[in-house]
Amino acid sequence: MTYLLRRLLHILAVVIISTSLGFFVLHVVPGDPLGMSTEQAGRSAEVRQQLQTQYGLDQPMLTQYAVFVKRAVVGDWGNSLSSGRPVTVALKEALANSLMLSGTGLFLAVVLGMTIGALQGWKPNSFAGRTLGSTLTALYVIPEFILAIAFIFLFAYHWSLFPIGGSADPVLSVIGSATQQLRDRVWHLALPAITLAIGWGAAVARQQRNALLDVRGEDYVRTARAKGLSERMVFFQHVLPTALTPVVVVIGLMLPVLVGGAVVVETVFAWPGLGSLLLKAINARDYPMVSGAIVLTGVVVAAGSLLTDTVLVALNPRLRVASAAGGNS
Amino acid sequence: MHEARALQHIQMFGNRGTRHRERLGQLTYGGVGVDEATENGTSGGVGEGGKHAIESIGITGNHMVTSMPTLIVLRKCTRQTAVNMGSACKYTVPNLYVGSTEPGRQPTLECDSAGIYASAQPGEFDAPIIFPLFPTIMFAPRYHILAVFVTLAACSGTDSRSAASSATDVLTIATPADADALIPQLVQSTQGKQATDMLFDYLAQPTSTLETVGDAGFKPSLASSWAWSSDSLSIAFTLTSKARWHDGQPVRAADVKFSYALYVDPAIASPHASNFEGIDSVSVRDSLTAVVWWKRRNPEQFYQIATSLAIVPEHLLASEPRATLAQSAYAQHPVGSGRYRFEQWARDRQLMLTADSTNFRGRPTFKRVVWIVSADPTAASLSVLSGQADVLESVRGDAFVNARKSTKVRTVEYGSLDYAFMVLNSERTVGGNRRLFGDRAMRVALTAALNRPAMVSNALDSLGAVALGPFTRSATGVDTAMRQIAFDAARAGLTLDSLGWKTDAVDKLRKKNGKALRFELLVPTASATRLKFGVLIQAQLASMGVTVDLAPLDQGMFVSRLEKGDFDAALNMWRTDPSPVAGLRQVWASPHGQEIGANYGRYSSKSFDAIVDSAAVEFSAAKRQALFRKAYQLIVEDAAGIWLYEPRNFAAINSRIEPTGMRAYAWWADLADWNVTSARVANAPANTAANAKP
Repeated sequence: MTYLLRRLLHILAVVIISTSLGFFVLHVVPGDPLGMSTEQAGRSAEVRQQLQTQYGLDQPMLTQYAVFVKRAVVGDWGNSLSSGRPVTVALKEALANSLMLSGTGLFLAVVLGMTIGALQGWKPNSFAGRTLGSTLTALYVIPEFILAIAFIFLFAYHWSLFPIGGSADPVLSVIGSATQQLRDRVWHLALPAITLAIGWGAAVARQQRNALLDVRGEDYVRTARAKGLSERMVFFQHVLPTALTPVVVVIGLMLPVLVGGAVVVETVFAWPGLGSLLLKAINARDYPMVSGAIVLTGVVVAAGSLLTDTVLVALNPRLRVASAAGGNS
Repeated sequence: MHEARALQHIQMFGNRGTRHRERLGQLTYGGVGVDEATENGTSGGVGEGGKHAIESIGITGNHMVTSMPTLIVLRKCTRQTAVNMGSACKYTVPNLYVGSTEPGRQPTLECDSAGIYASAQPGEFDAPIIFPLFPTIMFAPRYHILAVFVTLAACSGTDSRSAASSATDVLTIATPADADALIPQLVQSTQGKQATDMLFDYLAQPTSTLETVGDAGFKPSLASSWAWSSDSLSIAFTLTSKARWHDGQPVRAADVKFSYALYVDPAIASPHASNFEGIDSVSVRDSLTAVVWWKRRNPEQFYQIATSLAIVPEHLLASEPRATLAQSAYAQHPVGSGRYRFEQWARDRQLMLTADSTNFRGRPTFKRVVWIVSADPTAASLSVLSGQADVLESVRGDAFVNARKSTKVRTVEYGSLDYAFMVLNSERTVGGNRRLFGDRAMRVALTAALNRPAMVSNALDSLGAVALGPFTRSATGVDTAMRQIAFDAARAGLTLDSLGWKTDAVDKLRKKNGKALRFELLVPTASATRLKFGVLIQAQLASMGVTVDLAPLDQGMFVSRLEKGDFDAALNMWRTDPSPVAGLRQVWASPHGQEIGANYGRYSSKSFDAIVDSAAVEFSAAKRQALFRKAYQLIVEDAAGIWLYEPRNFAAINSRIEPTGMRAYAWWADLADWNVTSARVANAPANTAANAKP
């Protein structure tokens, strides 16, 4: 309990520091949210003054920060400077899209990576393991942007198996039945999710493979074999649980990307996620939107970190003891 | 009685296929009925957002479900309904979906057609219409299984092509960014302007040759006629009585007055408020006549009001707080009077408008227009090349080459109002030299030192032309043969020598008082073309002994430094106004104190200002044109900026579409009347140049 409380306080500190930094950095960087294009900048001084007053941009930075903190506490960041819509609504939509894309990508990556990694680690010289591993590594070294464009060219443009971009068909999303819309969403999700899964899956596979190679030579594994256990039993009961720890760490490290780390793929596939929303907001110096996105990202990342730690503690008894000792100290 | 009439309307055209198709035929045989009409005056009829009884549905073809033409006959066919339906109580919809097949429940039908949307509340078009089936005529239980099958079949490989197979069902526009707003008074983005131009009406519409003086270059739109006062200080616009808002209410003169008030209200802080400078007020003479009053007459007053004032509905907006208009419910579901009505807006993803089948100017060609946001240019061009999108307003580089080769798309050239130039900060002290670029001789020397045709050829190939001045070749009455400062490195060198910038024998740099001629050039990273030009300018000036430090900046920093005057030189681009007065004054009029407009280089010329002022009030077309030519010649010879290039605009458009009236200031101006020449994604070796300019 004390451990959990300590972690929650830690998360709170991380969120406060990161969001405050984000706020000040954005306000210090040159650029006026009301004059981001030369056309906007050419507006009359009267109109600009009016807008500045309306959005509170004429206030001192510390006053603006106080407003930001107040809004962060109540979860209301006002309206976007570039689109005028409530930031909370925009973030909610973008977060849902990001979680759908990155969540699917991460799930596929874990399944793909752990399967291939297990195959490579347990039977390192097998043809299948080596071939799959090499293929995944080769795809891993290709930059995400190139991979995304290549996939679009092959699977969407050349073979017409998937749509080129977007998260849903424009017409079906209005008039299609629920089933049609569901299938359409899956169809649109497939290519970007697979693109993400390949890179992440390769990382998981390598970690899984190395962990298994380390564990399979341990004394207790030899003992398990000496007891007459089948290879399957040895693998699933003695090797895999221990080898999962570093893999969970890697997966935990990937959790932040769930909310904002798929910018490139989101941009290329025109997927309206949080990453691309944040990028656009930064480019437009859309202070409320960026503030909201930073707080949201900070909270989700910190929560992901807590989740990872909790899973690790559950998986590894030694960490349990250490955390208990830390909690008591 | 009901069933008898239903059977009368059942139409089947053969069973040419499989057993499955035969069963579909049987499915229609019993007819499908929908009970009571719920017509109500406020929500209108089909296409007007009201619910209507469907007497029978007969399947007129034997296609699979996603492209199944369906005849719908209204049970209560009143005169008003007939008008709403397009003068018929029978209506054929192209697509039919069968769904909701849970055990114990009746299947439901959804009809896909722009005119077959219904809603209980005016303006609500989010949900698809679902016509409930009533027990009197229903599917036999065994067909529930069939319904499941056909529903699933409809879902496979779903996209716009299957959902809307007709060539005129959907026009999809791939666009790099989403609209920022859908209220004309608030819109700033091009995408927002495109959508609001289709949703809302203006009093008059420019003809293809945009003449900004007088009213000769305009045709009626919302106003069926207009009359000038004897002193030309007011124009009385008579609105057509046929015009209706999309919620069925008539468009009235009070809406015109209200719309003007919104534009100029400081609480709105409209970016277009300055367009109404010189207008005194708008009054209402009667319900269909609005009078616009000017403080003083000017040659462009008709152009000013006709192209700037989009009419919005007072009855829906009057109660909205002005300061929070952008957050209002109306801003999310705008109701206009244009030929397209709002259907759906998924932010950062897509915007969909649907044809207003009852519009007084006739039904548009396409039943829906959809903007799909595709920020990545490669993905956007592939979407058009593959036929998943129909229009990409600008293709460049490899995408242009691929589009030219493709049989699925045509490339269509249209005019451009964009010109790029190097803005030189005439107030800046550069390298200790006060107002280095304030000296005309220095500006002329730098212009002559640059081989602009070679740069354009290098960076743009044939997709651009050397800019002639602060205008483009698409502008009305432009003299493309006017004298230019030609590339002449020797002359440029001599001029620099005469200014004291001598070439150092050791490092070959031009120096004066021991200091090198060196300046910083800002370039926005968002523009690949300007980045290329930056490198080329750096190389060409280096050969003259002039050092250029390139400073690539993101858009925010770029504009910020321009505004503050914190720069030596910058590569800027400007989309000029169709009106030469506005186009020149915005960027090149001398600063008035801190008011510089977009004249970031702080260029100042009293002669130039005087000529433009004279042209602005000149009513004689010939004299006015002569004055503008004089102003252009002066500013070109003055080298107020170094005119670099104007891009040639090429749109990639699906071959089945024959666009018309693509104009430099609005390629979408006549989109509602574009022609469809063949089936969707047809193979047509068409690479035509419509409105080819330059």
